[in-house]
Amino acid sequence: MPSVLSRARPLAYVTLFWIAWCAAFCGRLEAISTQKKAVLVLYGDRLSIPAMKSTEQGLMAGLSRAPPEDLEIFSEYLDLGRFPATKYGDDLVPYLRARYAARKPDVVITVGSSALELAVAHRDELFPSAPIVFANVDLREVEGKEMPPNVTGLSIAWDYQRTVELALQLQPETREIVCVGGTSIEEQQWNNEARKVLERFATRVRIRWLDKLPLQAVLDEVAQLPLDSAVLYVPMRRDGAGKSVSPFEVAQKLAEVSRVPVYGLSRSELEQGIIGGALLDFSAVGDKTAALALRVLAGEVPPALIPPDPATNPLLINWPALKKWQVSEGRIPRAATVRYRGPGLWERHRRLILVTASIFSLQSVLIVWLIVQHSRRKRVERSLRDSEERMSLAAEAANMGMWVWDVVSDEVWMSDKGRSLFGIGPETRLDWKTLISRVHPEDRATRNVELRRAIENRSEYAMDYRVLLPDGTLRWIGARGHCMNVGGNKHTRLLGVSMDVTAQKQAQDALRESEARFRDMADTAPVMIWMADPDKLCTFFNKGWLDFTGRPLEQELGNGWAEGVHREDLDHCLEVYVNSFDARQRFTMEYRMRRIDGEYRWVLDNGAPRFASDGTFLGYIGSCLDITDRKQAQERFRLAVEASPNGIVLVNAQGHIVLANACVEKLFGYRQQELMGQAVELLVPERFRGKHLAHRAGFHAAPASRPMGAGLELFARRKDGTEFPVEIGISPIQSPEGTLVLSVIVDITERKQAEAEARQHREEVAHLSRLAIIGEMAGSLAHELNQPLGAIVTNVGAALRFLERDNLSGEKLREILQDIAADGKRAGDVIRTVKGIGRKEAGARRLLQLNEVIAEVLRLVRSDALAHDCTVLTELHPAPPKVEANLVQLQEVFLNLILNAFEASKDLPKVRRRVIIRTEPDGDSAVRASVRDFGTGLPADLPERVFDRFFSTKREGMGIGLFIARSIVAAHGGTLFAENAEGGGAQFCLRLPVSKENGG
Amino acid sequence: MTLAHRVVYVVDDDLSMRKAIGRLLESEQYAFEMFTGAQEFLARGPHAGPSCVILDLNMPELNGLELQETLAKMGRVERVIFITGGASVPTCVQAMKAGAVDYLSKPFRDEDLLGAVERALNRSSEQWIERLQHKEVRDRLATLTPREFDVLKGVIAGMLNKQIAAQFGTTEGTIKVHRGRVMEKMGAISVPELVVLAQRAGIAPAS
Repeated sequence: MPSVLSRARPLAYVTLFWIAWCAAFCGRLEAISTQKKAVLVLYGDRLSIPAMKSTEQGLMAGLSRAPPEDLEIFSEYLDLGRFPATKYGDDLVPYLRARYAARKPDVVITVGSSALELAVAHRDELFPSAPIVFANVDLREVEGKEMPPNVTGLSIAWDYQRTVELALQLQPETREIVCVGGTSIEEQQWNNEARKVLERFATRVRIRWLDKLPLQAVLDEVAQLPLDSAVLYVPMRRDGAGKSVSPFEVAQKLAEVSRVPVYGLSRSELEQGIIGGALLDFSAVGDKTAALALRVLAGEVPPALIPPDPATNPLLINWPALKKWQVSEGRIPRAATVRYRGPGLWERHRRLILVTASIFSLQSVLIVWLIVQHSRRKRVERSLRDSEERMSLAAEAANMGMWVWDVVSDEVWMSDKGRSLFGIGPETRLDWKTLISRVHPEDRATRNVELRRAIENRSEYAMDYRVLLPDGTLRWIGARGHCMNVGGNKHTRLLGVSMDVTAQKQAQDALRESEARFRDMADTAPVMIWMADPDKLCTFFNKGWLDFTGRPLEQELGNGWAEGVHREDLDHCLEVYVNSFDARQRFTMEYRMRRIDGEYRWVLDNGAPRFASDGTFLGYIGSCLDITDRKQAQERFRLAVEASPNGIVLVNAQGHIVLANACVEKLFGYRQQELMGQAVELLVPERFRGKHLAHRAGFHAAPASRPMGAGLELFARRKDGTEFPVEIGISPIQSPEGTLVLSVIVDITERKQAEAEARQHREEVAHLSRLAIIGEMAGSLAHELNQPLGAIVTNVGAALRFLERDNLSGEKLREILQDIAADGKRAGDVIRTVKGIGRKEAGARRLLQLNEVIAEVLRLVRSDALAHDCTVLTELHPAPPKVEANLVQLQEVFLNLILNAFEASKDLPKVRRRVIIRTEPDGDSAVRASVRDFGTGLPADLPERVFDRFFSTKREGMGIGLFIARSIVAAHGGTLFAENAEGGGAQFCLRLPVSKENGG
Repeated sequence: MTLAHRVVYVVDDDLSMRKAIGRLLESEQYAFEMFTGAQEFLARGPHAGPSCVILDLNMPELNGLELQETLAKMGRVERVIFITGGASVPTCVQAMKAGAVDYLSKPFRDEDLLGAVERALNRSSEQWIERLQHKEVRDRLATLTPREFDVLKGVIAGMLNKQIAAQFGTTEGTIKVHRGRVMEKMGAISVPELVVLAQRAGIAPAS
């Protein structure tokens, strides 16, 4: 006993009870309400899915066959694809139970396998008594499975068998069927089923599978198939490269590129251009299901599973596709239905043909009659000739050739115009062979078939075929005729007209090509493109648009696109759209549109009306660009400009101000509006305006970012006429309005002051350092000075004592006096060197970073660098360890070294006037700084001599700077030494111990 | 007891200063010798009599303080007078602690230097005299027999002849003879004089 049933058995009793109870209850209800049967339709997905929609239409149509007063229909769209029952079932089931507690459904129809699963799983809670009828469940899912009681339904399946049969019927010459399929698990199952089915045809045709290739490769392959093949398209959602694709789009692309007919399995593919097949039609499924449900309501107990009904997979053929691939109409099986039979020659030239044909048929009856009676009725020959002439005249006027073919005698009569269409002279005898020899070889078979069909069926003959003229020209002939029997089978005749339709064919081809080209172009364009008909409804969206919104084309068509427009922008958007449409004017607007990820993006929509060459309004075409990034950039630019602490002025090529930020207002005292459109010279002091104009012209000739007036002191003029020093950087900006010049204006009043202060500070430091030098000097000079002084005093003392003892010879006195004089002179020399020297207290030490000390000093020597036209380059370690030192003393050291370097660079060419200052850690316990110039370097024999007291190469130098510097460094426990650098110049290196307080 | 002649040494690297100091010493008739540096001076060797050194503090090689230290290590007794071009308190203190007689900043008054020289030589002379006296007492003590040395220790402890005799187990007469010889050998006329001599020689009285 199968498990489902064994479990269901007790349930069945419960169900019986419920039915009995419900019957009683409903009987009572009947008394108070109209007795309608409740039908609950549970749709597994949302309605926007094409299969659901078609099924729904079919269901509703089917249910409407019951009298409307008998049925009350409830629909629930469960959208289980996006909200699976495993996750949301706990909320969904109570909801449904509550909803249908009072209105118990009499039958439950489920659409899709997910809805069936839910209904069966929760049947006891929801509607224990109601029978379930299911639709849209794949045969594979239910085949061979036991169904719970009171469940029935119609399974569906792709009909590979009949589709292939149709293909072979339409194209008997087919030698290969190329199958295209997808790679998802479900698609692989389909492909396997299809393989099994196709095996049955293996004796007749070769089967080849393209189910592992990327879509593009498939398309390339299909585009090159030989003409004796056909394509079977098994729906594809994921291609061989693992990429998700739209199965409808794939059908469309295949139909577009393929040289041979493409057969499909789904009804909706027919619109995409496939030729046809036994196409699963969900609306038919819906219709059948409705019928089944009505049977159930009527008390029938149908079998649990009804196998796929061929009616749900009707044989359908797409007329334009049939024509496109030049498949003979005559092969269409009777069971097949032809769709989209478009306007043919008849529809296009109905009036002309009607006029001609009415004349012709009148006359032709006469002609036929004349021909038949030819031998007997010579007397009417004349009138026949007359009428023939008249008829010919009419036909000539319509540019048509007329012909009559006596099938039995194989005699052909053709008007001169007709002969000229085939390039046959008036004298040549005409028969079947003569004519067929002119027909293009590829069209001969088809033409024969068509003619034969017309003769066999005694029916109309209509076809377009190609004629190869003796000079090699190809001509398209449109032929229409009909078969007439005059006097029994012996006189079967085909009468008809032919006309030259080459131009139309070419125009059709050109149109098709141009449409294909347009579509290609539109789909590859990096913008979103839409088109609308004159009724304002949109008819086309390119791939770019659909990729952006992530919605299928069907949803966007018509006014569907407006759903994606931001609510706040919708009114304005529609207003512009409608007004422009009515006025037939171009429009440009910006609005926000929802992107596939849910984010609203700003788009710039440009729409333009389309007109035919005769001026007929054809609708609109438009393109949209995502300008969110641009808008953000614009906004950021605006914010940045406004927030800039510097004045920013944008000037156009004519020298007019087009933008000025808030800071400019503050700097110059003008309001922003006052400046707009003014010449930028307004901001320049009068005395510079002339020069400024010339410079501006020069800048436009060679635009490049640079500081304005390099090397000059610039001044700007305020509204009140006062001036202030500025520094200005100018950069060209390329914009649609031409080259704009962006000027950044910095008020350097404060900097100038700071520079003046810095200079003063430097002088103070220099003075202090001079005092420091003296302090240092005093100690060392005292010894030098006291030495001769001591000797003098002692000599004098000795001389006096000799005198007292009267023991002083003249010789001795002279010696003493000479020594005293020499020492006196020596003291004088020493004193001269210390002239003007003061005393300076030694300052306290603290933690210092050499970079800071150097930065301070560089600020001090800025003007010296300028004065020496010397470039100072720094290569400072980002965070050298700190040292414990006296700031002023270290400044003095660096000041000395840097000023020396400037001095050494003084007579060099400009390129060598460089000073490089570097800091770096020297091991763990020391930090090293160096100052390097590119001058003549140190004396090669004794580089260390520069540190000697009173050694100087400078004319004005006192020669104690480096000596002092070294003693300062030594006092800090460091060393200062000099060397000649590689590549010329001197390098002074300072090494100071690192402070222990650097921490970690 | 006569002392050898007194000598003043001058060590200064500055020729001019050296010459001037030399003249000053000459004018006061001091015997002196002059050296250009510390090494030269050390090479000269010690003088066996009162002497002093005038040392320049700031000299190449060994400076004044270092030379003073070296002299002390070598056990030489020259008294030191420092002269300096640039006086500083710490070096002055160090010099005085190490026994310098004076510390003079150039230029100094001639009487200051000469006064310092005189003081230094006097101190040196006293030292020499003391050293000589000490040597004489020890020479005399060396002539005593062991028994006489023991008696000396008893006498300077203030013991009576009878007490000393009892200690050695002999007669008072014997002790009296020893005592007479001790007085004679040490050249002492009275007991107090003997006590002073013994003290100078560092002899402890018998207990």
